[in-house]
Amino acid sequence: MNEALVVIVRAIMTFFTLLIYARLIGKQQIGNLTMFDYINGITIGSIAGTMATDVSSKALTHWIALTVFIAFTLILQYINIKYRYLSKVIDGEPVTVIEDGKILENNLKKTRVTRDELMVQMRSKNVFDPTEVEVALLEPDGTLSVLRKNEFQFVQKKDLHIPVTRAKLTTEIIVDGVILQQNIQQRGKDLAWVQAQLKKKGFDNLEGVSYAAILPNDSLYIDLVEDHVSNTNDISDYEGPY
Amino acid sequence: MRKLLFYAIPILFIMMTFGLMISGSWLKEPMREDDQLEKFIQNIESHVENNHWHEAKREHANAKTAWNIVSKRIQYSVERETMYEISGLLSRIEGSIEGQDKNSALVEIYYFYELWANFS
Repeated sequence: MNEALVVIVRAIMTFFTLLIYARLIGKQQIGNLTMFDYINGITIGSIAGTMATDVSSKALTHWIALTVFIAFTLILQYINIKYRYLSKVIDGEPVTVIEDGKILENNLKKTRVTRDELMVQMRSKNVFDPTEVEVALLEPDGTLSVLRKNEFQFVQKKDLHIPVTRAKLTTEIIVDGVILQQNIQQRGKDLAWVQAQLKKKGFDNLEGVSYAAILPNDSLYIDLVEDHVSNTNDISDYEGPY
Repeated sequence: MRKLLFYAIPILFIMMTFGLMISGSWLKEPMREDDQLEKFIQNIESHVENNHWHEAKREHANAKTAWNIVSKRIQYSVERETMYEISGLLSRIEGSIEGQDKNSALVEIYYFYELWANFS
């Protein structure tokens, strides 16, 4: 009976089971955590930890609990997508906490958020004056969404009739010296264009190129392995190592 | 092919994990001559009942060897506490044989049967 060996095997089983289950749950959990999602995540982690290390009980018991939690999480996700009313019952609704610059105390009480916490959330949204706010909503995941009054909204390019081009993404085309053909084609370019751009910037080959990308304005960004930067912006106070 | 592997590998892994976790009930069954733990304990019982203490001692040694083999196979799927319990039981049976205490030996042997039947 080798306890360490059993823990190693159980840890491997738990690690990859968690990885598979996390992929099954999808991306919803990361960005949009309600209080329940948060507690659910902690419970799943706790069960997984026990499954890996508690050799006094069967791994199967914990694995079943883990699977049941994941199954119910998937069922709730399905309900959220399929039934709007049930989704509101489970996750709650956004609550209006400020309207026309006035703080709605009753709604604030219902959500159990203090005025101080509300002000912190407002400041984190760059709103320092409640009178600038048309509506502020406390979302089910605890974040605050703020709509400024029209007179306090930022000027957009459209308002000033500035001509705009279609927004694009930055597309990686070289990573660690390896050319990503698919990405070059996605931006409607070819290898000859890349080589011409590299030549224009003084590179005959890919040696020394760590990363290159086509920027939204269709120009090429190149980052070298050797950065040759000065230590002007080094914020360390001591030589180290730390 | 990539898509097939994308689904096949996780499914296979989950099946293997599940298989390993429930393997105790069949891995405890004898697979060779020297790992027949239950049979050795039954032999001890009959020797003890006939007061053949020397033979009982010999069978106990066999049982201990068998347990060493079986415990390595089943350790990933069963509760460690139960494994310690069986190790303790074997030691208590050994003590009862040494002391030629028929009653005590039989108590432990019957407890072993109960434990072994539910062991998985």
